[in-house]
Amino acid sequence: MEKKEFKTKKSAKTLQTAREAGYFGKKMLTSALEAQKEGRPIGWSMVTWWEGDLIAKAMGMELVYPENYGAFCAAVRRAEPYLEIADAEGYPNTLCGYARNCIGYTKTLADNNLEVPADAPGGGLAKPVLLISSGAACDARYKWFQALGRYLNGVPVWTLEMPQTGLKEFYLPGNKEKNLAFILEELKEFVGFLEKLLGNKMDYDRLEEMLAQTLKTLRLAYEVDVLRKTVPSPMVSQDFWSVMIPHLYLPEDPEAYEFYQKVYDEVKTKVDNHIGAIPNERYRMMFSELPPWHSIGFFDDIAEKFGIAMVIESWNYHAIKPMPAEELEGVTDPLEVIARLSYHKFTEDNDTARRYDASPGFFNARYLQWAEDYRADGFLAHPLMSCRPATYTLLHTKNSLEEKLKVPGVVIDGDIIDLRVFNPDEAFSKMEAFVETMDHYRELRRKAEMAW
Amino acid sequence: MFFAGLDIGSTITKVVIKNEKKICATVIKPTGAEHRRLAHKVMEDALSKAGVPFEDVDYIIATGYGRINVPFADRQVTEITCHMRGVNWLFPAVKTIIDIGGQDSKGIKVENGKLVNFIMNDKCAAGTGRFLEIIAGVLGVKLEEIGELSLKSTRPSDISNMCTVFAEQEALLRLSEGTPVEDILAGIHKANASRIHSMVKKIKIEPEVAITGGGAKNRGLCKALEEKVGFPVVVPPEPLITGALGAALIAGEQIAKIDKEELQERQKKRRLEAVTFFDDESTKAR
Amino acid sequence: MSGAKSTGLARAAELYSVRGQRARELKQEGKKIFGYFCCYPPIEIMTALDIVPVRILGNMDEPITIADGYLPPVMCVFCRSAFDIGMKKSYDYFDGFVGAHACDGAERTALIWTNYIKTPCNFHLDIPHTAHNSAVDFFKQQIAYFQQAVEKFIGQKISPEALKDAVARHNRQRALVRDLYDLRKPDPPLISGSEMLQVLIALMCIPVEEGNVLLEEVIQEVRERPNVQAKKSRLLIWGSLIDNTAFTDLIESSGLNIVVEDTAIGTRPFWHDIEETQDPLDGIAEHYLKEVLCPRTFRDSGPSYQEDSEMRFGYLKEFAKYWKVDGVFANIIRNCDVHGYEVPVIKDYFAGLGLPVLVIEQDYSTAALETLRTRFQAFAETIG
Repeated sequence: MEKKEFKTKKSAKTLQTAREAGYFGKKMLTSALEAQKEGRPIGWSMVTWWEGDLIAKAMGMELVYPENYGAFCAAVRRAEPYLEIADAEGYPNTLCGYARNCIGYTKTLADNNLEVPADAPGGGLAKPVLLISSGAACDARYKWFQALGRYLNGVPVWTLEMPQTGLKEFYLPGNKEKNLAFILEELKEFVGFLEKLLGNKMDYDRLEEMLAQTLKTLRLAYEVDVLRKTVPSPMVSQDFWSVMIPHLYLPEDPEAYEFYQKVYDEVKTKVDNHIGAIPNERYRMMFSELPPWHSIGFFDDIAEKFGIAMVIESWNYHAIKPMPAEELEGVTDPLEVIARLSYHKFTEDNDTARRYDASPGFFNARYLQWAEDYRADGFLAHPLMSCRPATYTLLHTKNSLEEKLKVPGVVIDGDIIDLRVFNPDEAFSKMEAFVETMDHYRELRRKAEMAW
Repeated sequence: MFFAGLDIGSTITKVVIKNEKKICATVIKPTGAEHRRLAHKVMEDALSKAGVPFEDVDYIIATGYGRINVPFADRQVTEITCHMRGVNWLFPAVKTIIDIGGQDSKGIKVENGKLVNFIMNDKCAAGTGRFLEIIAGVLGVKLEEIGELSLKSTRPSDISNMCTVFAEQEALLRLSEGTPVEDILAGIHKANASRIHSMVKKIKIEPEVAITGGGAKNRGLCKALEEKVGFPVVVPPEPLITGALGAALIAGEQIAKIDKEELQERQKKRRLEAVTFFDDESTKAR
Repeated sequence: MSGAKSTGLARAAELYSVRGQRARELKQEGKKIFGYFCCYPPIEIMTALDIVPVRILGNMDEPITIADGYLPPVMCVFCRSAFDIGMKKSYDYFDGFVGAHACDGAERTALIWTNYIKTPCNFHLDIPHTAHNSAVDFFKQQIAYFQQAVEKFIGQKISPEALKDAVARHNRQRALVRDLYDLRKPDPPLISGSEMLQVLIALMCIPVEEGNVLLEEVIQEVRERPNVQAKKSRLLIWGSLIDNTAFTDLIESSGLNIVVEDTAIGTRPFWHDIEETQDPLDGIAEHYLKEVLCPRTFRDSGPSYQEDSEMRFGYLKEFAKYWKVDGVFANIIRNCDVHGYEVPVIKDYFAGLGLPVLVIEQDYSTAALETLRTRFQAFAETIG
């Protein structure tokens, strides 16, 4: 058996700014550790798409993100012992890998009298005073925190509501406003809950400030996405997975904004000078869902061997499209702005979905739109063994891309935690064959007189 | 009075014939798919070895994978309870039993001679004898020899994948890279032990620990497991028969609960015939 | 077609084994049939418009083939199976399809369903994750939208009286089901778990009045017949649903009597009556969000782990006492997250009550059932 030589497991990011993004991951972990030293309250939060983070932060809470910690532990190959602990605790090994990593970690925290164990990867996650769950995206993101009660005796869990209306239902008269009113109502409850828990009052000025900064950062991050439509692609997924961290976790941080300015400038320069992220771009592909963190170098290999550029990826991790001005017209309550912002995240593609007759809006609509906007030749579906929600809709998306736009898809199994699922040799040979499929479909699109 | 325990495992059939005082005979016979129905022949062997005519056996308990339709058994009891009883009789101090069979492995918890908890692996060859058998095949080493060979290793290789198919590929890869067979085997045993250990851990491993089943005959596996468990484990002199022995012990107790007439009635009805299986195919297969 | 119409348990067994048959007959007679996913869509709304609500289930006997191309294998196997048999036209008689945001699996399946299996009327019901007051209000609004959608399809408004009447009839059904559960209290129980399952599934395939007649027949029959059950250890089932008697047969032939099941086909839809409120939708929303106790709904956390468990699972203590339970089977259909996360907690909770728990993750396939027999028998030997 011939063994292919692969590059280092670490990917070669094509942007200088992407190489600098690691700063923000470290910043988050160190601020939490400092907060712990200073005795400030620490919260563990799911990614809530701004729904809960800003509010908690404005109340003086330092947030850490166990989902991100899962990716971190996997990337430094320290997840396995935690998975084993979760397994021994009796959690089914089919549950979310990030959750099992966190459960295993939290058990070691509890066993160490809630002091961070000295050997915890990246300095560990300090004991929280609150767990912020989210009903958006998947059930694991509230069931997992609820399960931590076994180890964090009495630490409260707050579950943020995010309505998940069907497409047709979204357009029922008045329903959107009812959805928003419900989120707002719940956010008010959340503020009241936090005030009671922390014993201080919400600083609405601070919240407004953070919110304004967040909107600016998101807008800029979105502008970068728009630049990526250019052929050849100035930036690829290998860059995005690093670049996304500040806008996903620290959008209210002025440093994040400055960072995106630099990213924007770098990408813009490449666009202006027709410099592609990868040399000899021959195929433009979209990627979904989370990447195999420990083998991102795979993307460099297929870029080098086949000229495949990953031009755009998983919508969930992207900044939102800017909200139409009328959405925020006359809205003064920062909580309502937050409600509208987060809700926009999950409904922004509804009009697109209607246009493509692809229900609901948060499944495949974005990929259909993107396939046209980014002139995609193919779709790489990466179902995650231990992330069901990321995986549910991939086959459906693949089917509809092929049917509606003659953009073929390939499925390569992997995982976000379990290093063993993703098999680079096998993945590589699949891509080798898939290149021919893309050629074939390109011909089909040409015959159908499609734009790309 | 004589009583018998018959343990029809997925790969091996075992019979223990006992009376009130001692074990009269034990027989261990491989029973591949084609022989499974012939469990009554193994019983015949055991009877002739013990010098006991079939009619003189007062109570028979069948256990193991093939226990369901044994026409000559008075009762069926799961191998989990039977292993527990057999081990408890041999080693009263044992609290945790790790049974490594051909197709599955189990963890069993005992307290005062009673079964209190158990766990079984999940329809996957990893952590079972089958796994080792496949790897032995790939490496061209006899199954009986892999354990000893693994003990010669000085640098166990890293086998990261416990899916049998992938582990097979990994073993092959190591072989092609020139890794010595004993190192690969040591890695495989370590991986297998780790898998079994993490399963049994769910029911809390408490000393003493006994290992039974075919896997207990593999010294390499026992040593790897012992390292994982963190303290010495005991292995019965014949680790294959604890299930059949336990079945025979339970059979002995049952006799006391039944009056003579019923016992005779049962004896009359009993036929030493071929075993039928719950899945049609094995039943039809000859 | 057999001439004489069967009654009671025999009728339930028929309805159970040919699940769509009665609905198809009724469709011939001009009735509208709506399929619905899981136990959250309010069936009272459908009943009020004389629509027959039919619960969408999978089929453990049918290997999943078509669904492979649409729903990846890491999904809940039950949902995959339901979709698979949907694609195989098991539900081609539906006039309407009601999906719900109950759990990830049910929601995603329902949303994908409408892309590939077309039905004249569709509604996707959003269900909040908490039971906060504003969540109940929001849920009520969503139910109102559902009501409007169905009214529009049928071309007729539901009067408050009609809705109240539907609530009363379904409450009657819930009370009858609880009466039937009472007949499992004696030792041995008067009705087996498999018979019970046939009755409960039969109820989910026929109009409520027919179900109530069936229940009355069954209750009378079970009360009057000589007890056919043997004395065995008494089992409570908690977790993912069971919808095939091959499974309950396996359990009950392994030395166990099923006496109560806290699942989406067991007690959950039936345990609480809808309060007859001024605006019937208030009672309906409260009932479904607060009283249908699937772990998909987040209950606000308690001040300590123990109190949290007590708040969430206190009812199980009552169940265990009332039915004199000896042991618990935690049934997890593979990839069922909402139950999966609860496993260690539920084990802790029952351990506190002195009850052993057998946890099995299974693949929702009758072909793979027999391999579970040893576990059930050994569990029976443990608690027996």
